[in-house]
Amino acid sequence: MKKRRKFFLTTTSLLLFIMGFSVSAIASPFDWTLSAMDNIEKRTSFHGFLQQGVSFNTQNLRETPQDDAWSTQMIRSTVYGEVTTDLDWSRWTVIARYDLEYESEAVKNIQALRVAGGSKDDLTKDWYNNFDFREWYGDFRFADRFLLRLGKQQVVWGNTDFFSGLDIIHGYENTWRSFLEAPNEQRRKPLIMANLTTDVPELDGSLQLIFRPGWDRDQDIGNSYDVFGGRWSQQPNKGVNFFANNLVKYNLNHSEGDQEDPTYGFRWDGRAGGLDYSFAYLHSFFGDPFVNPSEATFGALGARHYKEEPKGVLGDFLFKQVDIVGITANYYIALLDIVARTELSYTFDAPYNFGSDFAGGTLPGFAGVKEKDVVRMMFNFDRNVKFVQWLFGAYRPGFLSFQVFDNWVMDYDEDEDLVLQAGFGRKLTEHETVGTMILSWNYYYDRITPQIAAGYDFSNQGAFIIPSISFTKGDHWRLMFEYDMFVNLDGKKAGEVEKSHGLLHGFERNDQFYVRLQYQF
Amino acid sequence: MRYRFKYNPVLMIALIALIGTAMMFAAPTLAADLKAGTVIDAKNLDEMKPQTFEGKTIASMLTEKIEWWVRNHNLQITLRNSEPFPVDPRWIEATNKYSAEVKFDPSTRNVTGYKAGLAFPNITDDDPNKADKLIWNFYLTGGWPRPSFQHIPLFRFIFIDGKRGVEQTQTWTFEKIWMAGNLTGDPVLGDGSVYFKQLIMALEPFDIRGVGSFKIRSTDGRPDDSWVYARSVRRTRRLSGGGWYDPIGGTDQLNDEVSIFSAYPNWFPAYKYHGKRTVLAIAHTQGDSWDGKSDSYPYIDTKNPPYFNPVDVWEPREVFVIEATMPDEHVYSKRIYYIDCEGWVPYYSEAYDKKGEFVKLFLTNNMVEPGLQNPQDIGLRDPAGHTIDFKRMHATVYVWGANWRRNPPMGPNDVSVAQMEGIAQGKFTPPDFPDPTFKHEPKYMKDFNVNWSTYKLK
Repeated sequence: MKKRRKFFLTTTSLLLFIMGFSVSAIASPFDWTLSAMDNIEKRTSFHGFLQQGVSFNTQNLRETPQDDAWSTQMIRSTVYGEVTTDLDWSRWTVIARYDLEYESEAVKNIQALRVAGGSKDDLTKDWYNNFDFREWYGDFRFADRFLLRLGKQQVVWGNTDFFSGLDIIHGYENTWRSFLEAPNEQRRKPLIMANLTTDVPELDGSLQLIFRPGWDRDQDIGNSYDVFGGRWSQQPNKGVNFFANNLVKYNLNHSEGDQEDPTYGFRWDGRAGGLDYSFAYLHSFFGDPFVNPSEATFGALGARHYKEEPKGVLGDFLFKQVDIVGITANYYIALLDIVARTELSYTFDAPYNFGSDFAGGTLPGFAGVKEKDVVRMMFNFDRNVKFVQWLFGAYRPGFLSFQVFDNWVMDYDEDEDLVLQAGFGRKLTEHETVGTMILSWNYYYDRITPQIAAGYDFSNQGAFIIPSISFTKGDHWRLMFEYDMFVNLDGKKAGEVEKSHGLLHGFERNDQFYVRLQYQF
Repeated sequence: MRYRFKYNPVLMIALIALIGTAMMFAAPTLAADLKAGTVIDAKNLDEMKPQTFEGKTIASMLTEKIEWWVRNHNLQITLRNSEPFPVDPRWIEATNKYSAEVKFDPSTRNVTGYKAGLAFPNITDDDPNKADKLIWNFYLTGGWPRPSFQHIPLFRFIFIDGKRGVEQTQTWTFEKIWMAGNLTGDPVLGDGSVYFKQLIMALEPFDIRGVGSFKIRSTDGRPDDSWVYARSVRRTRRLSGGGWYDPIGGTDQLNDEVSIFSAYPNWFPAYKYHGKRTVLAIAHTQGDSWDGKSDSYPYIDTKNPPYFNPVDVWEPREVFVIEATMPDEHVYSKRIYYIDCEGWVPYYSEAYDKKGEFVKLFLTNNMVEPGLQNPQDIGLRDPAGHTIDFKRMHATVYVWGANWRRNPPMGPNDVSVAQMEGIAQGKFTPPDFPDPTFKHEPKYMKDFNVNWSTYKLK
């Protein structure tokens, strides 16, 4: 904490000094200050948006006694601002976002369950409202080919939509709207890094090096899921706060996942013979958390903790640091007029919970942790499609993208009894395969854009379908309507011992209608 | 027998009146030219048509569609005396040096061997491929010559509804390098397989800020290699090349009509030459179209319907008229291009749909563009252009900000996927270049002993 405060004070002082430094010598300090401020103002741009989002449940939640159908689920206001100052030899950017919610009817009902279960915190005030300086960084360019970005930022690798193969430098914030918020830069958790890109035009490519020194907050690490009983908790856990009464804690100081330990990687990205390719190595946190079960609590049942005893009564959520190597490729096939893309990553010693019948099936996955090598594969094709013109009267060809994503556990042994998710009895299979599709098209000079996104879990059945339509008015106003539908799901019920709760089943009865109005500037 | 003409005053007066009346009706051949600054509009069009300007009737210099535009959609034409374009002497030298190496293959309708200068300076009237060769001349030279590098840190698309006015604007940055046609150093950069590389990046509004597109045009006619960077997902995606005749985003422009013509020439199945004529065109636009900051565009009439008309000066220009047949899959059946005979810039094009009905007119406002290489570095550019869909009564107008530059000290490495990502991610902005410190010394074709038959085509 002391180290961080010193860093911030030093950086801020340096920033102010540097910003004023570009002014030529002025006689008095007052004139210098005025001139510096004038100089900064001319070189500074400010962009952002004001946004109001409202969602409505269209189904009755199992957990609450009230009828939640058509109750408000989320009433969220957002102010987002991005300030950039260009000093010729450097650029400085600060991005901030303030989210403020009004307690919706569904949240009110769920909060009542949480309080009854012993929670002392408030969903709206403690989990959904938030102000954050999301990103702040300086960009420096050297000798035309070196680009260095220092500070809190986002770096995205990989080619995969919806899922993460190589894109695990950052975690994602899935608590306030799960995975559904379409511009995923708003969900990605920025990290403090040094990011150096070297352009190598002689080889038609570039080399990128990243280094995260470990100065981030605990909450900035890994994928965050709603395990505090909020509106996006998996069925049947709405209202069940696993953090209450010290049941489970996040532990970002574990020897295998200490957020103060650096993470790093490199990527080469190039083009040759019409093929776009990249290969990368990354030492980073495995995106999804796993449970480190408490031996003190469950040792008698045969549970074993993972290297260290957790602090939570039931266990800890950990993010393990892993090594990943991966490649991506994409190629335009002129004969078919499609762009084919692929991504392949190999993760060494990825952590999985095991014990689908642990504690009589009431706490699946709490027997312990096994490490397995995992291959994640993605195959995709994109195409501009003309059928939307004669079928839907679109103004121009639409965009269609199909993707298949597979998680392949190496040296899979069914007897190891790995679970897909801790807390649910579904076993992890050797291949977990999901297909997704996006189709979008336009009317009236792109002022009206319908889109359909869909996904199907081949391994567990269950699907999502998300139709939406966006409207553009002038330079500032944007309006979107969206319906999020989860189909063919049979999620776990309260107290049930089950073996079938798959990847999407927790979204049972989470169908919703969403409206988002945005004013951009 | 001698006849004596008996003087009769009444008869004399009647005769003088008759001669005077005849002179009034014979005015076109006998009266003075219209003056520069004369405005032609719907109200006086019929009166102006038989009048002359620089010795040619207004009627003969108005194409059917421009006249229709004046008559039906409030276009006003202000006359300007014509002026020759200055020429870069290096271009003439390059033509003389390299044009013999340029070959046109009638079976593929492709061109090989081009390095710099005018590709086909000696087309004759009996050449069966003259229409194709004229288009290749324009494609490889238009901009007279092509700059090696076009740097436009700011340009704007203005979307205009013909009934309601300006709907929306988008601000972009644009960088383009041509890898052939260089007049300094090697005429061809790289291995000769790439003709140009182009980078375009959205700056405003916020939802497209950071969207970038990078394109490579090859020299063999294959589909363009294209990439797009989407800031909302922070990723670069490859695009299919098959959409070369699809609309650009939400604009009225198709991908193949950037600056009127941006297809690879043999993508259109046929060309037909309709001869030369003189037309009124915007060859020396009045000034910079946009200051780069405000919502004010001095040379577009955004206050009066149809809100997209140019407010500019038009001068007589001799043009080649060339009709292009579109492929079956194209949304149009044909286009007609009007290409300056001297400067090889296209002033306008007309597009016709599959029923043969007139749909769209694309018009450019042109100007002389001094470059940054040396005092001889000079050419032509189009700092504004109007794509008007007259069926939908909707237009997309592009205007350049005031800080664009021809041939700044930038090179192939400044236009790449990595550059696109760097600009899109906000890591740097395209540089600004000051005005040149040297004075340009314009030369004209008449200063050189040029005797190319292409300029003598009928």
